[in-house]
Amino acid sequence: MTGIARRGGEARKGRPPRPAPASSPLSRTTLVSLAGLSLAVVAEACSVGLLGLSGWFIASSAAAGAGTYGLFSILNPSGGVRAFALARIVANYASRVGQHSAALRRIGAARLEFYDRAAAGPGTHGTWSGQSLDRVMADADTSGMALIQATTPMVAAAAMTAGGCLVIALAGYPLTAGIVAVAAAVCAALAAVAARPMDNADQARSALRAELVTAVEAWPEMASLGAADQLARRTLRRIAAFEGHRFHQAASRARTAGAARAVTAATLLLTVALAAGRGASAATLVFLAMLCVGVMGSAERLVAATEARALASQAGERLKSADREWPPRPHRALLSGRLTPPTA
Amino acid sequence: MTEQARTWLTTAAAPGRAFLRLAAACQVLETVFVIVQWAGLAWIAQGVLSRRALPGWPELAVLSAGGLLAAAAGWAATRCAAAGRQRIGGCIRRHLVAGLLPSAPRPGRLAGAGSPDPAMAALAAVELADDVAGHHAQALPLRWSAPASMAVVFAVTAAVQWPAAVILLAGSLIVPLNMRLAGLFAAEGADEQMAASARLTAVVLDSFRGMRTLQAIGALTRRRGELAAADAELNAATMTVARRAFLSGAVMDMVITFAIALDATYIGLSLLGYVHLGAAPHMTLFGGLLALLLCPMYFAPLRATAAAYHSRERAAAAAPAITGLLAQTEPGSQVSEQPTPVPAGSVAVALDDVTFGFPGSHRPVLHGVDLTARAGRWTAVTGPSGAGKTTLLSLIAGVRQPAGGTVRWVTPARAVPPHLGSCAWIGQQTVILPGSITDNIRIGQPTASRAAVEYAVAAAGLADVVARLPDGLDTELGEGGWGLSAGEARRIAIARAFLRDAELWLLDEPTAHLDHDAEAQVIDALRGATQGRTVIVATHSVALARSADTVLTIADGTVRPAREVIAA
Repeated sequence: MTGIARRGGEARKGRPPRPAPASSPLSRTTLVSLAGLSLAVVAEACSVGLLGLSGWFIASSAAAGAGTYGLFSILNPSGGVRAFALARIVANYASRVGQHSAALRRIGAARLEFYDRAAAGPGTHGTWSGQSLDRVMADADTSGMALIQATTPMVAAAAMTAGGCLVIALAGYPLTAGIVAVAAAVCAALAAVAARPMDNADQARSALRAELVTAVEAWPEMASLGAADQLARRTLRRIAAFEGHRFHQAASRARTAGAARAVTAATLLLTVALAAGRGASAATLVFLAMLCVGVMGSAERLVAATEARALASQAGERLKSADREWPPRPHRALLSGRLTPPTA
Repeated sequence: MTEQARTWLTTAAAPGRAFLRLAAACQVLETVFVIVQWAGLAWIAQGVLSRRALPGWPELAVLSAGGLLAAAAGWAATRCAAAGRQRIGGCIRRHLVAGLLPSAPRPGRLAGAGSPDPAMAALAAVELADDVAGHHAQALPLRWSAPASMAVVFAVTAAVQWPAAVILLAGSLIVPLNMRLAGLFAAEGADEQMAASARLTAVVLDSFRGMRTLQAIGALTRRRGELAAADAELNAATMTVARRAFLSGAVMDMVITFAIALDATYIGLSLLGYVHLGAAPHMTLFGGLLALLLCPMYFAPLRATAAAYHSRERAAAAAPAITGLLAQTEPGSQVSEQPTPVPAGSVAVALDDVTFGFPGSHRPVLHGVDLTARAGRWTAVTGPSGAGKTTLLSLIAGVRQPAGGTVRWVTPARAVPPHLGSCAWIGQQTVILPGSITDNIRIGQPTASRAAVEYAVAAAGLADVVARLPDGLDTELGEGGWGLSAGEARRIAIARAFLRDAELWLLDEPTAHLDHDAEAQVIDALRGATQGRTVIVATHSVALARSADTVLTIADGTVRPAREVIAA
């Protein structure tokens, strides 16, 4: 509280600050977000298109064979490949800059909203600063970055699945399109299931941060009682819990990502077998295989995206509960006075 | 980054090295299996082209086995990297805890150094330790696996179409230059980002800790502005780093895409008969398609290494912060002997010409401080935040040692140097450990009788609170148990200190963040529990200062009598 007591107040009675007008900066943030999101989808579409077209181009060249100058035009497909490649690079750069700018604005707005809510609420967290710190720093970050880490891959995966399957169906392979769509849905389901145990790791992180702030401040008191070792042991237990949850989370993510890749491998096999079974030419077969790889690549990214969405949603909930303790504790209402967590 | 920080960053990886080597091996295997998968696809395409027939079982088996094995190897690589990361992060955090929370008072621990900042401690143990562990978990397996993976891809490409391999090689020569430039750009911005992040953390912690005071003095709006400014500063620094990273990423993309496009053009033109290099093998769909599919794989480790370059800069920015914190908490060299036992009897405190300053600061926090706290009396020390009240208490407690002058506890028998374990300290944060109320009060005296605990409870004004609980003193507190209000927790601290039976009590803002009623209750409890003891209390509270026998104020690094505070 550097200098707060010295400097007088702007008003004698403290009033919660008026939240910033939501319209102009937020609407600009929304516009930048939408532009970034659209560009990210364009970049992803260019990636998938590049894969499919370049595969088709090579296979078609092989099918045309030597000495077919007049029959096979190299200009159109190679121009298409170059256009996809350049568009992908430019769209990627622009979407990254735009989305990061929008995400950082969101993070800033979330921090200030939390402050306003804490200032206006009846239960301001004067004694629970470790938890507040965690919410303002990590939760605001997680919540704001959801645009990049969750929304964009999800929208891109949905767009690529829909677009890719449509192209495959229009090419005359509706069954293959159906299989690719089902496989993408399986990846999404796997990701959704894996995102469930995320709460524990997040709670453990919040508890660890709060613990460290409290423990460092309380060390002289505990040392004066000869109980500093108990304080250290408790903090180490929190660290062990945090790391255990983090590892469990990482292991679960690795397992799900592995499973999603296995689904991709199986889908590619089915795509190739079905296309060959229906008498597809080599060029069509390679085109379908490459499209399948591109679409499933987007679907595989749903594993990380769903996890990010789950974490962002929890972080958002916590940010909205500035006047409530999190996680809730049993029995507390039975005690008198304004309540604080046991470590406060 | 200093040499010390660089060395520390390298050695910090040691606990996870075995797992990270395994992860690297799995990454190489993953590359091999993906090559097998693409070879299967190219084989099928060639079969369809040349025989116009359905693919046979061997081709389909190669395609599926390659894909499934690559998935398994990818899973194993990620899991091993996570295990390595866990070990590295855990080791750093345990190191930090050992330094920040030593198990026993060590008088020389903070000799001449500042006390650890709680916000910085939390930042270091949660984010910065993760930055370092994450960097090693990402970078080390890559560093070991990238050359092998690239060599495998290069060898296979060269085997099927060596001109394509030459193009890859030419492309890869440009990439390291770009990576180096990207690294230099990122390093420049990362320090600013780190500093902005630390500033925002400090403002946030300060704001929420002092919310009640901010409300009381009407400074909420001004503090909101400070928070917004700190946030904007961090965002600007982050965007600067991000823009540079994205630009270098785009340049690398351009180089890689150009190399792939060149390969594709060569393959396409060769298949159409436009180009034929005399020494090159005959171009087939199998060879051409496989070479094209391997192109992005060849550059994938370089892309990943470029991404890890930015994580390296984050780790490089984190390393000095962590080593600085660890250095702050290392034992001082000049004090290693056992503390002198404090003789029985009342304790007065005498400071003679004491000077103290934090390292790196030109201005001492305290200078020329002469102070005597009489035995059995209350002495209050007031002054603005940051004036040095807590520093003064820590000098009196023996947590810090003065740069000049002496601090002595004067007993009827003799004067002794301070020793934290022989006084009672009550601060702004009371830790309630999991266990019963009795367990929590007995922390300082594990052998205290039930009657002694009950007496301490009564002395701390907790008897009414305990009487309301169904299990009384046996009520479980802490994780999964009952919670306490801040005032009640503070009175548990008073009961603990009372049971410890120390002659000298040092109170650091004991009524901070309490409402009026709770503050009055805590002051009553303190007055009752410390009868006949020497008490030195650092406070902003006028009510608490009024209850003191002597009031001193700290301003401009010196301590003066301040009777006017009592009258305020």
